[in-house]
Amino acid sequence: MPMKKILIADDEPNIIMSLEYSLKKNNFQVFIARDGQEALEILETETPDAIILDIMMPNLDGFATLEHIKSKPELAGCKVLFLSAKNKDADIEKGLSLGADAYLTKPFSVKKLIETTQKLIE
Amino acid sequence: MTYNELYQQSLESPEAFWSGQADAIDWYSPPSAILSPLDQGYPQWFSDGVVNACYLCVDKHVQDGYGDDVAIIYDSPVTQTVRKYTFAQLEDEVSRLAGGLIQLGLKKGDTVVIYMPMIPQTAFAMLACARIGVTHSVVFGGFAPNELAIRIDDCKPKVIITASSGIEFDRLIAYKPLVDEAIAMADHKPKRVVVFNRKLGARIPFKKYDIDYESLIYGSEPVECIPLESNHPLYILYTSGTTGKPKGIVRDTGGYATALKFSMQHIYNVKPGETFWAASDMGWAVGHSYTLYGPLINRNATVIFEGKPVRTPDASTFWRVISDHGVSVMFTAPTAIRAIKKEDPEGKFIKQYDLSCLRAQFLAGERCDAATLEWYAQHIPVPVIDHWWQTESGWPMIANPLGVGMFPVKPGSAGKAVCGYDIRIFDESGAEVASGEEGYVVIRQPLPPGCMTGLWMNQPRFREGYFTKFPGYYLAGDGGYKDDDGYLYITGRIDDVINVAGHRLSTAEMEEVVAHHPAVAECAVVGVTDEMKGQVPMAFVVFKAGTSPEHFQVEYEVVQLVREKIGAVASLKTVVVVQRLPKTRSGKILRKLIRSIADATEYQVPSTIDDPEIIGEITEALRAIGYAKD
Repeated sequence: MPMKKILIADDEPNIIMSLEYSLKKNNFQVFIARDGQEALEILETETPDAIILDIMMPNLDGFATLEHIKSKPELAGCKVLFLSAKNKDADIEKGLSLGADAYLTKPFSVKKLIETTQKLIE
Repeated sequence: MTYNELYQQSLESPEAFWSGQADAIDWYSPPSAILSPLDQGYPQWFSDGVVNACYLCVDKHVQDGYGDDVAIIYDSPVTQTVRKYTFAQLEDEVSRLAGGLIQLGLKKGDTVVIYMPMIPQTAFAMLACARIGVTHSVVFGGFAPNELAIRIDDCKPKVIITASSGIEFDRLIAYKPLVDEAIAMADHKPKRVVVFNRKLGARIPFKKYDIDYESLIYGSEPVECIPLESNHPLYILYTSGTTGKPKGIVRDTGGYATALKFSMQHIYNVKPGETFWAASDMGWAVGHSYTLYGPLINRNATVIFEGKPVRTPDASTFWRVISDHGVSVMFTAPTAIRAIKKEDPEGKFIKQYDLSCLRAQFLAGERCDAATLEWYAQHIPVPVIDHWWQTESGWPMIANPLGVGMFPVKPGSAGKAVCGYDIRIFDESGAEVASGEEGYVVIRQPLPPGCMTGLWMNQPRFREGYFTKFPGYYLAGDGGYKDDDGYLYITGRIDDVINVAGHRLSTAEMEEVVAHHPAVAECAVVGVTDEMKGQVPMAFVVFKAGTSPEHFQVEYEVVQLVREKIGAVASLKTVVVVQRLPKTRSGKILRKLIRSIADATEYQVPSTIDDPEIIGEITEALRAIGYAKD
C-alpha cells in the first residue's frame, strides 16, 4: 500500500516539527507549508490525502486557504482538518460550513489528531 | 501486551515509549525533543512541548462536552458538609480566582504559598496558579509557623493563600494567626495574603496585606489558560532531607502530566468518568498527584475529604465515603487501615455499607505489614495493592500495574518496578547485589517523565544528594532487596529520615529544635518502631553539666517545643534523659545503634564505639519506659 500523504500548514515551527515527527512515526508521507500561500503552492503539484490546516497564519489564513482548495475540483478528494487555537463555537461552525471535514482545537492530543486523520482518510 | 513487554520497551526505547504516552495528553504544541540532556547530564523530557496543567484538568473536559460531570466531591465529616462541583463549575471558580491573582500582580514565574485545610478552595488555588504559570507551593496545614517561615524564605512567594481555619477532629485551628506569625518570622515578606473565610468562628486578625478571597473573585474577570513550556515548574513541594532544611522538590508540567495520565490508566486502572479517592492531605505528594492532578487529568471525579479514618465520627467514615460517592479505586496509607482495624477489628462497620463499587485498594506511604493486608482482604474482597514512591518521583516507582495485568501480591513487597524505572540494588561499592540481599535502592538514569527536575534554587544539593554516591544512578535514600521473581521490598531509610504514619520527617531537624532547650547539652532523635504509625521519633537528651532539672519538666517542654516549631505532625511524644550518648571515637552519635537497642533487634556493637558501657546505660533507660525488651 502506498504511503498516505499529509500536508501540514501551520506557522508555528514547533507544531510543524512535532507533527512531522508523529505523522512520520505513523507511516505518513509529510509535506510542510508555513502559511496558506505556501500550502496552495504545494497543492499545485501534490494531491495529499489530508490537509491539517491552521487558521491564524500570515499571508493567507486557513479559512481563505480552504476556500481556494474547495474551488479546485482536482482537490475534491482531499480531506481537510482544521487545527486551531480558535475554540469558539462560531469559529468551529464557520470552519465546518466552509467544507472542512473535521475541526480540532489547540491544545490537542497527537493521538486524537492521528486517529481523526486516519478515520477521514479511510 | 504483557507487563514485562511494556516494561522492557520503556527501558530499551524510552524516547519512543514516552513520546507515545505524551501523545495521549493535549499540547498547545506537542514536543519533538523527547529526551534532551540538560544541566550536567540530568535529562529533560519534552523540553520544546507547550502545555498547561490546568487546561488538562479542567477546560479540556468542558470543551469535550463533560462540563456537567462531577469533578470534585468535597466530603467533610468535621463540618458535616458534602458539596459537589462539576467541571464547568470548577472552570468558573478557577478562572475567576486566576483573574483575581492577576489583579494582585501575579504573573508567570512568580511563586505562591498555599497554606490551607482540605477544602475545595485549596484545589481552586492550585489550579488557578497552574492556569497562569504561577508556581505553587502547598504547605501542609499541620506545620507550625516556624516551618512555614522556612518555606516562605526558600521559595519567596509574592502571595500566600490561606483559609480562616482548619479542623483537627473536633478542634478548630485558626490558620490566619499562624500565617501572620510565620510572615513576622520570615525574612522574605509576601505582598499579599488572600484569606478564604470559612465562617466557622475562627479568629482572623486583620493585617494590611490581607485580602478576602470572596471579594477578590467577586470583582475579577475569568482568565484563560496560558500556554507554558513543558518544563515550567508547576509546583515546589518541600520534603524532609537529612539536614534541618527541607528540600524544595521542583515538578515540571508536561512530563508530570504525561506520567500521571499513564499511571491513572496503567497502574490504578481507572477509567475516565469514574470516581477516584486518594485520602491524603493536599500538602503531601499524594495529594498533589492523586487527589488533584492525576484524577482530574484523567477526567475522574476526585474526593476532597476533610476528616480522619477514625473519630470523624468513627471508624466507618471511609466506608461511608466509598459507598456514598461510588468510589471505584481508593488510595490511602497503611496507618489509616491500621487505625480503622484497631477501632473495628471485626469489620462490623464495613458490613453496613454497599462497597460493590470499589474495585481496588491501593496503599502507600510506608511499608504495609502482612497483618493489615490480611485484615483488609478478609473483610473487603478487592485487590489490596501496596506500592512505593517518593515525593521526588511524584508517581509510583514500584507497583502492581492493575491496568496492564495484575500479578500475584506478595505480602511485604511493594510490587515490581514500574515502566521507566530501572531499579537496582547496590552494595556500598556500587555493585549489584544478588537477589534476596539487601542494599541501596537506586534507579538508573534517565528517570522517567514526572520525576523532579531539581531542588528549588539549590542544584548543588540536588546533585550531591541524589546523584553523587553512584554516578549515573538516582539514590532513593531507601534500602531494599529484590527477589528472584523481580519483586521489590523496601526495608527503610538509609539516612536520618524517618517515616511517621506515611509522612517523611527529618530527625536532624528535630534534633536542632531539641538542642535549643536551655537544659539540653546534646541530643539524638531516632525513629523507633511503632505498631500504629510504623515509626515514631524518640528523643534522647543529655543535660548540661551542673544542671539537674526535673526530668518530667524537661521532657514535657521538649515535646512542646517540637510541637511548636515543627507541628503536631512530628509526633514526638517520648523523651529519654540519659547520662551520655553512644558515639564513635571521632564523636559521631551512633543513632542506628540506639534505634536497634530501642527496637530490641539484633545489632553488632560498632568497632568504632568510644565507650561500650554506654550501651548498658541506654538499654536500662529504655527498659524503664517499656522499650528494649529482651
